[in-house]
Amino acid sequence: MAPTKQELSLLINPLVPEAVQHNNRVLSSLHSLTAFLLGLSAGILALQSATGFAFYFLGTVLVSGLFHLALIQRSSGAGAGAFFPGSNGGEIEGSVAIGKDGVVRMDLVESSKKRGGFVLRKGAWRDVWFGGGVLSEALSGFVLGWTGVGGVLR
Amino acid sequence: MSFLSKLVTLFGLVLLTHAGYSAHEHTVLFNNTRLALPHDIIVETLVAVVIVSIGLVLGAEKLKPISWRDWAGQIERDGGARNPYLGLEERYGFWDIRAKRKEFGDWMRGQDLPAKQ
Repeated sequence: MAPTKQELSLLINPLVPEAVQHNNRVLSSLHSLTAFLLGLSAGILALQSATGFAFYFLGTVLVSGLFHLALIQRSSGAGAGAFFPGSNGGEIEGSVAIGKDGVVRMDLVESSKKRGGFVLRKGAWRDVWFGGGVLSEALSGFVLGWTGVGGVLR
Repeated sequence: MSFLSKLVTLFGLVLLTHAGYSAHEHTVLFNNTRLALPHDIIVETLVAVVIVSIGLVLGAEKLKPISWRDWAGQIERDGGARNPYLGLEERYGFWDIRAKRKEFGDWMRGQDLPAKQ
């Protein structure tokens, strides 16, 4: 069976596991802190049931958006692709294939050549917007803050 | 966390605490949970959330590039002990092994001679 594009990407452009772990840790600690903060404010605002969860999702979108903006700004426009492996397990943007002579060649997309020469991974924005435990650990932190403050204030 | 981001986060937390205390006073004074919160408390809370989020995002640790070539280029430019290939990059040049062996042999013989006599 011919190797998939993801396998070829990892073959010629390996990931650094430490760096991936570090980035995920930064993202999830940011999300758990802000989720607790959102919980506190939802408690102050006396939100109930669905409104509270809607508030959480809006707040998370705000935080992810800010994080993405800061990330683009700090990496001179490279974006999330240089820092998160993406949903395809590290598949790069651009083409990568085995040539007739049996040599693996990659061709980066034009936009990534302009952005500081980083290799960009496909679908990495999903890691920024949905990753970091937004629907698991961070959500429980939110509920903790929400019920705690709601109980104290009323 | 830089000083600016700490300052922004602290300011946002002060606003949030103030909003929380105001909401508490409001419920204590009116003793009626069905009465809606005043608009200024709501606005203060929302502004505080935005400010603290900005502060936390600015204060987040720097991300590391995940591609091996970007990462390796970065640590090589930084230099220092973080480079895992440091042992390969700073090596002794070629030794003249024959000259060294002869030098060592002479030294050994020089040591042995007085002991035998």
